[in-house]
Amino acid sequence: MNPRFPLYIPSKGRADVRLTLSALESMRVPYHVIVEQPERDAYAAACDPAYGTVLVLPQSYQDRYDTFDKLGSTKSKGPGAARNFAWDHSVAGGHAWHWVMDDNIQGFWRLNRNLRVQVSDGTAFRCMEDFVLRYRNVSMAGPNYLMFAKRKQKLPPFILNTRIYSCNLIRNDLSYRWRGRYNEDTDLSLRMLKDGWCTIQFNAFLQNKVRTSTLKGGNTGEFYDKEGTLPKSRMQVAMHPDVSRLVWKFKRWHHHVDYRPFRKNKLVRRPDVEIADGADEYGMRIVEVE
Amino acid sequence: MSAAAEWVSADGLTPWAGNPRQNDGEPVRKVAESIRRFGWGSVILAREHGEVVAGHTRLKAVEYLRTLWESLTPDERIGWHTDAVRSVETNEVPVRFGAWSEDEAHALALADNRLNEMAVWDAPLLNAVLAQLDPEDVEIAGWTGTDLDRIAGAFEDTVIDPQEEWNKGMPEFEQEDRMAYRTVKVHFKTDDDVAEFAKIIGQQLTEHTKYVWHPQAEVEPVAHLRVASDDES
Repeated sequence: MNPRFPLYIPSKGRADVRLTLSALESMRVPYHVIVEQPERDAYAAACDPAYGTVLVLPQSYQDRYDTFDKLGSTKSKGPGAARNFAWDHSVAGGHAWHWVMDDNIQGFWRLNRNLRVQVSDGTAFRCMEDFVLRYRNVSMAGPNYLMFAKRKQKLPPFILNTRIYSCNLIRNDLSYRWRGRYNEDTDLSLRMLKDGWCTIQFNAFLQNKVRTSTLKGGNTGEFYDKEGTLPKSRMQVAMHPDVSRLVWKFKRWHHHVDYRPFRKNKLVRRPDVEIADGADEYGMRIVEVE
Repeated sequence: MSAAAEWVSADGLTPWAGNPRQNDGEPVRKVAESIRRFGWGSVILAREHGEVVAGHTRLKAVEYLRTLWESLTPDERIGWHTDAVRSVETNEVPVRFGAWSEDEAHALALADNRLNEMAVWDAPLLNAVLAQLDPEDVEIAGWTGTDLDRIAGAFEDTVIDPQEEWNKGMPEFEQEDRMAYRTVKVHFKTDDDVAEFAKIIGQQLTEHTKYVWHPQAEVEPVAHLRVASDDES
């Protein structure tokens, strides 16, 4: 079962790595990869045309992107401009929501009965979509990281009102857009939460993301590697001083974000959605592979 | 600065050419609808020579209202607020003039917009007010269906228990607590001590061993498993 909403993957310098692209192709899930003009041919050659469509990021999105600093184009602006293009592209296509994903996701997993098992098709996306569509006031959702959902740990199926990162299902009719050179996921999550929206981070479904610093290419690696974490954390505090603070931990700068104020944002069901009692496996079952 | 506003011809006013606030389109239509329904809730602020300091959107709204007015039949014009009728028929708008310098005027123009953005809504109180209003007035007040979705949590039945909510119509999710009952760090002085300890617990300890379970945990292999779906749609 495939997702009902379009998937977008902004990517840069990773045509030969193809982590998320490969994962989606193996799941037979259609996607759009958003690249800069010079890399269009390389990505076109790398994508399976049965599933992947290459979109070139219009320069205007880069030019008018709000980096939340005064450094202009002197260093990478990150993936935000391409994510904004994805949002508008989805709106233009008449969709109510869209997915936007990092390009370094190795695959997607399901957690249940203390087992984490990789999924082999797009049904997990459909489940997450159906879940958010039950509610009036969800703005963004996505799977938790595989490394953060321990197999032996007692966890709820989802966490409300926290940061949604790297694989984001976003409601299209909102006026927010991505901004910032760093921490775009945290910033967008916080702006939505402060306005009273709910976000949903799923533990029932997980994404296996490779650590940014271990992979070549990408939109952000070039400045994380060179300048450390201080500018990133400083920008977070500048963006949201009311819920963020700078901390020195494990020999580097971090930012701590307090999501507790958003516990008051409660999920509200749509009155026109009927929810059945009991589990629905969506046809999913565990199979053995060679 | 004059404390009272006065009705003057809009022809004598000049928009601030460098106004960074973009207000064309939907904002003008919304403000126009508000003036049509409720009259001039806020007046225009202008420097003594007529340069507009605050109220650019309101000024454009008068143009919009005039065009709308001319397209309507007399019956359709019934219900317009008298302020709106005066503005479209005479081109007069209420203005408060002040002796602001150029810098003061620009700072005030920014503050007029920016300071409002910094205030926050009390969702329960807001909902209580909106619930009393005619739906048309809610829209005129600038609240869309999306806004109402956003603040719905303050006044409608809400979801309390994630597990209970998930159990209805979503794939099974049962996750027990299988974390260690207790974790103790064991320090060794020599390789012989490591070997002796391994013998005692009956497990192999290699250079890469960071922890062990006692009794030894059976690791359930999952690498050969996948979650597949029957549904190919």
